[in-house]
Amino acid sequence: MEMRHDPILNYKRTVLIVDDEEVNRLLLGSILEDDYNIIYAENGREAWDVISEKTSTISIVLLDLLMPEMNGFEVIKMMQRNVITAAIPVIVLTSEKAMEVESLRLGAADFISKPYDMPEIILARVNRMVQFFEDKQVISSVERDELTGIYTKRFFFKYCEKLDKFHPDVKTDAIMVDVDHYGLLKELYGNDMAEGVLRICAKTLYLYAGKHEGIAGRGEEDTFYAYLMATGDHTELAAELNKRVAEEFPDTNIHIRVGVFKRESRDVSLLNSFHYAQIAGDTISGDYSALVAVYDNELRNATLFKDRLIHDIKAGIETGQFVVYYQPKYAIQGDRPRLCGAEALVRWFHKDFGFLTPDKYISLFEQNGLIQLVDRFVWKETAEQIKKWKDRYDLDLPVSVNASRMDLFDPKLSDVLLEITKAAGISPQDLHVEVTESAYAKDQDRMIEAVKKIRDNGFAIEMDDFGTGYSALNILCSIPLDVLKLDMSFVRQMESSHENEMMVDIILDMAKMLGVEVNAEGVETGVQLDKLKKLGCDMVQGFYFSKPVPPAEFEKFMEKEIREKSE
Amino acid sequence: MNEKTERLKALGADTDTGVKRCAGKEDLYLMLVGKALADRNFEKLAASVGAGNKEEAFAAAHALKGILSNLSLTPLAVRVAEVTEKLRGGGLPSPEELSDIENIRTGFIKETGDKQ
Repeated sequence: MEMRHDPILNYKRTVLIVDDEEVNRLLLGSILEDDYNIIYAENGREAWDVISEKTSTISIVLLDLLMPEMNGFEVIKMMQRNVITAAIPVIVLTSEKAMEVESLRLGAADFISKPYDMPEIILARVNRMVQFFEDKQVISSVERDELTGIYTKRFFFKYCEKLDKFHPDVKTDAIMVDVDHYGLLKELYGNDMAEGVLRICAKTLYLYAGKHEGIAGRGEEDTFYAYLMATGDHTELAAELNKRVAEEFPDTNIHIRVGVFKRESRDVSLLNSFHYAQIAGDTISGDYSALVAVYDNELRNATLFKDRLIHDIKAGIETGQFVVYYQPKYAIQGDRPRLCGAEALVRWFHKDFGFLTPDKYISLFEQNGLIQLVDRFVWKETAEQIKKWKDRYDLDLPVSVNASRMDLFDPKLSDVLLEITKAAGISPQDLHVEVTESAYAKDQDRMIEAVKKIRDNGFAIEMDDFGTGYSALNILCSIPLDVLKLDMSFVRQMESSHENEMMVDIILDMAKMLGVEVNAEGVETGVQLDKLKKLGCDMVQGFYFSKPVPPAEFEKFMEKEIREKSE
Repeated sequence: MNEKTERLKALGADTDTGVKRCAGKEDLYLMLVGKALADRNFEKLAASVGAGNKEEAFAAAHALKGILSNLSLTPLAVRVAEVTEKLRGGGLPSPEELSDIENIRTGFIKETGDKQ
């Protein structure tokens, strides 16, 4: 039987043997004890107590029919009443032909006649029944991952559940293995090489799991899981993974990271266990000196904090805890800096935590899609604010809002934006949409398509954080774009070396050729401003002029602009 | 082969099959034979037949049949099976049949040296 030859699954299942005669019990026990854990019961009542208490650990019941207290028929009937106990196969032990039929009719899976057949036959029948019922529970699709040959995610988790069943009280380790920056790796070295790395990881993890009483499976693209009965710190695994990959690809610098969650009790679900292992592993992303991270108290608190934020977001939006601030943008090429627009930025004043900086929740909400709630709130709020300002001031100030990758995946995005501007009574030209450079990292074509659609509807597109990702400069030619926002890191480094200044110069030249305006972010000093002006930068934004401020404060900048314009 | 097993064989028990059924473990086989020969159902059978309780007598005989045939204590198993069938058909075994069973049982007990 394939199952029994699989070293990964060769765990002892549990058999419940029910017979009022000790001789019969021990006889069966002696046949099955090498392959199974045995629990004995002397009568139906005892059997039912065991079944109710250990439902999840019992793989099969061998049941005598004629017994005092409660007979075998009654036990079968009781088991049939509940879907979970009904799923445990029962083999009836009997010397009465008539009862064989009756017991099968009641729901027994098979019968063994007395005197018993030879041990091999009994063992084979029990094995077959156990496997048959387990297979019935795992509805087969694909068990092995095509690329790596280890379990697919679905089967991996199914088998984890089985391991739990066979080892209900064992402390286990949930392990996550991830190829750091896999997307970049693929881009740099090509698909074949990247897949080679995955194969090595899968094989190494598989062997390790075999040695540590566990199983291995493939999660998402470059993520692997192992579930181990033999616990440890797994530094050996991490070292082996990185060593094997380095040996196979000597001219590269690939970081394989391992996250560990120690599952001390079954109070934490399997899925959460691997989620925590992932969280631990993610803390060392990009840190080449760290190979293993174990989920600990600190991480636990951080996770709880995040869960809390996720929980609180909706109420936060509904009860006005989210507020939109505006940071002015200035055109710098004229004789005086001229207020030419603003960026809308969200601020969360949490009812218990107070002001939360965006780094605490933006990327969190981007991961789980909740960012869409925040984004839409900001779009609507901003559109309404623009309308108020248009009514009150004679100034043409487009305000840019952020759209995350998630938003771009939404096919209704451009309709939503149009509806919002229409409802507020402004035109699409009043609202700019900022898309971060990194949003284009995956599914580039789809992203470009989505952005094109918005732009065709009249919304200007600004590329945020330009220079922070790893996109080549040629991405600028393929993406429809109106404004390029130069990341603040360029502005800061500009002063430190001539090369950095040249880099900014090249970007500005290229943008000019493409007919795209450039807005430098994070401008803090007059020196920076002068330099950018000299290099031909169109706009700046940053603390030199103002931090993001509430609408009432922003109005002071508008009033000042109106005064200066008329002078 | 254990001396006791030899003696059981001489009395007509199919010890080869019996030991095989115990996954080849002879010690276990002998231990179970000891238990079977001391089974309370022998006494229960005699008592319930004496009291005319056919139902209880059948249950006892039926249980014994299962045990004895599993251990291939053939001469004893055959006689207990006959009694079981008689009880199933609504009859009562004769005192001779019962003493016959008792005698064979005593013989087996003597040979295995297991007495309780």
